[in-house]
Amino acid sequence: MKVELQKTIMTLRARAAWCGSVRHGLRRVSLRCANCVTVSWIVAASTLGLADDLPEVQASAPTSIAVTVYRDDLALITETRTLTLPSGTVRVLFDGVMDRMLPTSVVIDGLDDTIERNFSYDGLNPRSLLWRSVGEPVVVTHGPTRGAAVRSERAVVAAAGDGIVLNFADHSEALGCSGLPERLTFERIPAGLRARPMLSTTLNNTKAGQRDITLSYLVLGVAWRADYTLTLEPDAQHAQLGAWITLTNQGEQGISDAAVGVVAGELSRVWDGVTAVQARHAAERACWPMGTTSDFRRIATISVTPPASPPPQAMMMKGAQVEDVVVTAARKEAVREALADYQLYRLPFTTDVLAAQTKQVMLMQPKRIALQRLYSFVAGALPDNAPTPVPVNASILLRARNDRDHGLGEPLPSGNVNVFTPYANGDVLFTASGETIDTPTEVNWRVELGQSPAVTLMSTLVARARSKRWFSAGYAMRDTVKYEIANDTDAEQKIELAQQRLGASLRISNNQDPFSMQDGLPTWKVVMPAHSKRVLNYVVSYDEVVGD
Amino acid sequence: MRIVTGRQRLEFPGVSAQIKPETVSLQAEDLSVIEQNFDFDLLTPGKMMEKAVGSTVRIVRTNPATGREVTETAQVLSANEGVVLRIGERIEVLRDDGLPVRVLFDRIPPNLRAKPTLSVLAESTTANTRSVALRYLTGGIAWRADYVGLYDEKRSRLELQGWVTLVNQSGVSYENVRTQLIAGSPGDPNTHPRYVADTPGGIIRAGTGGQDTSGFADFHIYALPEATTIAENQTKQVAFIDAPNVEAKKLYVVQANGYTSSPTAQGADVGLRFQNAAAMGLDRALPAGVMRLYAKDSQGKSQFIGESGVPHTPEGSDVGVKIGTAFDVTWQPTLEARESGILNTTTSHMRYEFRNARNVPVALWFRQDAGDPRNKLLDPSLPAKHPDASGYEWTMTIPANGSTTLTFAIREG
Repeated sequence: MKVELQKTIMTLRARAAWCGSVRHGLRRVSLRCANCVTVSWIVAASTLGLADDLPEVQASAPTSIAVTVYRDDLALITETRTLTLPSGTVRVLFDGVMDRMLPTSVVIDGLDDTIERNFSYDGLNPRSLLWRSVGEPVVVTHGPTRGAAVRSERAVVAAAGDGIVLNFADHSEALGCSGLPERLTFERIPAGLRARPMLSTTLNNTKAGQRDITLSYLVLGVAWRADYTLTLEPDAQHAQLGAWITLTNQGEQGISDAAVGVVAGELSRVWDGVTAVQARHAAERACWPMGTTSDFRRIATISVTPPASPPPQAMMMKGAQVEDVVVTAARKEAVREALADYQLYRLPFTTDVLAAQTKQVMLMQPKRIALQRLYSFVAGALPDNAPTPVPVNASILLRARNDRDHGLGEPLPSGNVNVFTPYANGDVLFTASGETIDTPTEVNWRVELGQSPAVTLMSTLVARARSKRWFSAGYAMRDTVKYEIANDTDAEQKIELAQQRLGASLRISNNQDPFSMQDGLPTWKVVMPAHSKRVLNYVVSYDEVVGD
Repeated sequence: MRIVTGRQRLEFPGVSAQIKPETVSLQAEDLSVIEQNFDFDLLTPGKMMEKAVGSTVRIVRTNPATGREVTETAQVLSANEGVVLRIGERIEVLRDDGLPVRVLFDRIPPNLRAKPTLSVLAESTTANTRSVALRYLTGGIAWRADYVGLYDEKRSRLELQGWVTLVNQSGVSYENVRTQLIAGSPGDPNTHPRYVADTPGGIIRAGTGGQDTSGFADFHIYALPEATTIAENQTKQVAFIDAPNVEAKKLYVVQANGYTSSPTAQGADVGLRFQNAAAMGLDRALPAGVMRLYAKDSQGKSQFIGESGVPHTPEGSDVGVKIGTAFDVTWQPTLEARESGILNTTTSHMRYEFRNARNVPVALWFRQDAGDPRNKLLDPSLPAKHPDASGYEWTMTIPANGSTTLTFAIREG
């Protein structure tokens, strides 16, 4: 299914547009500039948007602010603001909204009969200042250079797209191409440019008076994740499990004194290029080609340099972009409630989420849980001509049923788990980390922790018999296999070996050791003392499935 | 516009930078167009230097030690990678020594513009000021619908508001314009689909109730009620739907293809279904766009719960919107056994466990894609529907804090 955006057919009635424009813009026209430039300024000056005579009301700064942070770089900001409205058609301006807002996500509660609303992100920056100043007089200051006084000249901006061209009284010149210090001074900020992004809404107001309204919108660049700390007890059957909410704000604007909540769950998202606007802020001082007789080799070198690859996301979270990490001292847990089909955790205090900050608050107080740490292997298909067997490392798995019997019984959001194990003198040692998925109650919470070189498996195909199947393609197979497990750790370990499903009609026979079915697979569960070996011998029969 | 007798060049600066010049049409009394040009040669320092090749400029050298300036006249020979100048009898590369040199141009080349300009060569037999209508197609300005839905699960009600969103990145502003929006897909090979929605979104049953708006050909047209200004770099939204009481059912959706086991339980998709019908307060086709859904939290605040693409939806259609993946409603497949039979048949025995950790019962729709239409369902533990040749469907209610187990076998081959 696809949804297509349509281009709009705009019909411009030339007379209405142009003549109307002249009225607004004429007094600003500089007589010196070239005809074409003059005319375009007339158009630009009058069409900056808020050019009509509607009464404007400025909403107050937010009196309270709440932020709900989602996982995938998204947050919902909810602000309460106060304003006093006259009756009739009025435009309400909201200053100080965050510049990474998605304008189409704005919801305003408490205003009636809205006609339209506008969001202009063309804020005041060097680029927009110059672009809007085409046709405007500016002062160009040359110098200071050695031996010459600082000189100022009047000029008119002739172009400010890719590079800046100035018209002087008797000549034209490009800015920033001579190698001399040059700077521009502007007489005024062109109409319509705002220092901060501006949201406005136009409405037909029926009841005059003061009122409180709620403004909410989505912003990008704020995210959270859950970080678990799991400290195993010496028996490896119990552990202390605690969790933190790690909030990151990668934007340039902070949020202060806000009621903060985080949502665990996977929301459906629509990624679209229309709302995620990347405005260019820097004015460009492009010049003519600047090659000289000595730099052709340098150009060649640049062209073969591969572009730097962006750092991975995880590096960015922990790397230089983030200036400080704040761990709040208050030992207060976030409070959970169900929100639609997700979990909402509220911080019990208002807090700041400052620009370029990483903040941690407690999601879950450390508590004692019962768990299994086990090593697992999967016995797969063995080739006919097996090379000399080599030991394969076991996967380390932590598993606990998410219920009260195991000290759990609350939804566990997905996140990163750092595992510490006891060491001499009561110290703990960071040993591994793994990822978990969203885990509701009454199912297994699982953490896969990579591989252990101390617990290994050697697989041997002892014999293979093959017989043609009756009334079917393919063969019936009968493999005699030997699996040798080695526990080279200093402790007793629980080890599982699952026989992968091979073909169809899988049967295990000639086994000395009992197995059970787990996740649909025959699984041997053994407990092995420290520094021990164990051999599992059995026969696995199965029918080859054509097409498998 | 002031028009004189005879041939003349009419200039329209401030047209969209993304104008499609081939679509320009100019209409006025007693004015015949001879040719039209769209001049997108923007004035930049580089272009200015290029156009100066062959002509003379003044260069001003500043002595870095004394600050004394020397002005010379130079002819520009080339402006390719570097600027080569002839000064008197010498040939030099501009700023070869890296020292400051100003370049003064006598004039700006006439066909370089600060902003994109359309120029038309036209002929008239009368001279006066008259109205001129200019019409063209442009890119860079787009619209879509944005829907905001506040969902009340207890009442199964959706409070729906619709906004038309115009985004103007065409490079110019349009002041006081009458605006019409066309929904549908007039064939433009350059239009890329911008929204891709996941299951279970989209139109579930297409309606035929359309009788609103001024349909033209296959498309719907929406006219904005008043003339409005669409400024450059502006996102403008105009309200167009307010339906505070739409009945909407929440549904959990699981779709499985293949027969495998998973050691973990995965969240089911959550979606809403509603009807785009007059009885719901929705009395028109819904233009394509994005629907954002909100729900109230325990403090009565609206919280965002997900968004989904909505296709252009005729009136009377059943619409599905995906919200997200449920945390507390999960499914876990187990392939219990796979048996081979004669004549290359294979039977897979599946067990699906659907769990609900919420404190309310939930409705779940499950589909097993069965691939080849000859494959056959055997021994389902719950009655199945077979709506099409290649799939089986179950609708079940999972009790609060409980689970439902479904077992069946599929014989392939």
